[in-house]
Amino acid sequence: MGDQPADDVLIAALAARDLTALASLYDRYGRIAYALAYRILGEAEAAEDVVHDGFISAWRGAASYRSERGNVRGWLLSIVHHRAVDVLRRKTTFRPAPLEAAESSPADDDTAEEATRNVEHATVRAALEALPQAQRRTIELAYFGGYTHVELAELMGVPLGTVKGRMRIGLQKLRRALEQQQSVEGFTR
Amino acid sequence: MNHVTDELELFALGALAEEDRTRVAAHLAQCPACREQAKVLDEVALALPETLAPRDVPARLRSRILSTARGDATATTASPRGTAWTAWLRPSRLALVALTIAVLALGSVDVALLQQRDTALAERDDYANVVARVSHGGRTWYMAGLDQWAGSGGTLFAPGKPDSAAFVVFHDLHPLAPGSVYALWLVDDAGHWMRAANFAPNGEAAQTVILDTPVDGYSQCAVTIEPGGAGKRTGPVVMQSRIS
Repeated sequence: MGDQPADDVLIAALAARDLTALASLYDRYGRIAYALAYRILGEAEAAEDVVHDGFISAWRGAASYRSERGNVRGWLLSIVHHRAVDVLRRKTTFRPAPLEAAESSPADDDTAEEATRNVEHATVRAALEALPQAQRRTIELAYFGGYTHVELAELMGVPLGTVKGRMRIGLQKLRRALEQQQSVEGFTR
Repeated sequence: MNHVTDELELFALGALAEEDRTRVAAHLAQCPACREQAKVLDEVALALPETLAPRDVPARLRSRILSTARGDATATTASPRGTAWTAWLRPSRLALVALTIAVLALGSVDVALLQQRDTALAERDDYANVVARVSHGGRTWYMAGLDQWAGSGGTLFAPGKPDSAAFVVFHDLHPLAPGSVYALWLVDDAGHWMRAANFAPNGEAAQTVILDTPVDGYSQCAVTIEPGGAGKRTGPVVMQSRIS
């Protein structure tokens, strides 16, 4: 990260009401936060509002950040994800219809080309694509589609236990892929 | 203690309904073992955004975020009136003022509602949920002062009960030149501006303004400074928020 301050330093500055730190955090994570909100909501203005509210929430709640519970990037993206899903669930008429929509969204179309830009993107993407279709759909519809497991069971016509099982196994596989990538990176450094 | 191991994948992916999410989060706050497992799953789930294509972010978003944050900083450190009272009025506390007024407006001041208000004093981040719950599905939006009006702001409160009027609790309103008024507008998706109220600052730290019309069907609210109490919008936008 060069001369750039570490995330933890920026969060501490944020808690001290340092606007420069907020600008730095936005420059670092604003783009991925917006991409996430846009993917969930499918609407530029709504995504902008969610990212705005998310960063303001971080600004106001910086003192509540606990590094032992996760890194700053994860904390910020969790805030944005939670807010975006909340907005989506309130606007039920804007919910993507089901499986077809999730598979053919513009973000997905762009993903393969963009994701190869760096190793981490490629690793996550490859691991996701390597999952059996049912597991991948379940994870994507839950995380990006905002569906609860009860809704997913109904949508997919499977028992709740099957939905949970697909999520559990899918996340386990993704975790293994990420761990392997991290060990390779550690070995090559 | 009933562990929540069976729900941690659902929690990580955001696939729990809100009440279940709250319950699991409460458990995690007091259970180190489940928290450790949840952290691992969260890290996996939070890798998912890496699969997304970067998007061009609207250029205004950065300045919008900084403007709102600057308003916060101004209000808490260099408010024009500089009192503890105005610092107390930042959005979460402001919503509590709105909540108090809502309780009164609903004509049902009971102990349970007031207790909820008191609880909310200790839960700044949850204020919107509390307000919504107490007002039978009511909604709130915060308008932050823009540009030279940073530091002022107002919370628009739309009660859930259809027969209750929407209102805004403003704070730190700047004084106006003689003859000018603040106009509160509702804007629909077609860009039509409907004047919902006129008011002049009363010099108090907080000021409540009741809207003449329901907010349903409108997508934005805004405050401008106008030369009179009628006519189309001509003055500068002082504060604004999406409300849909």
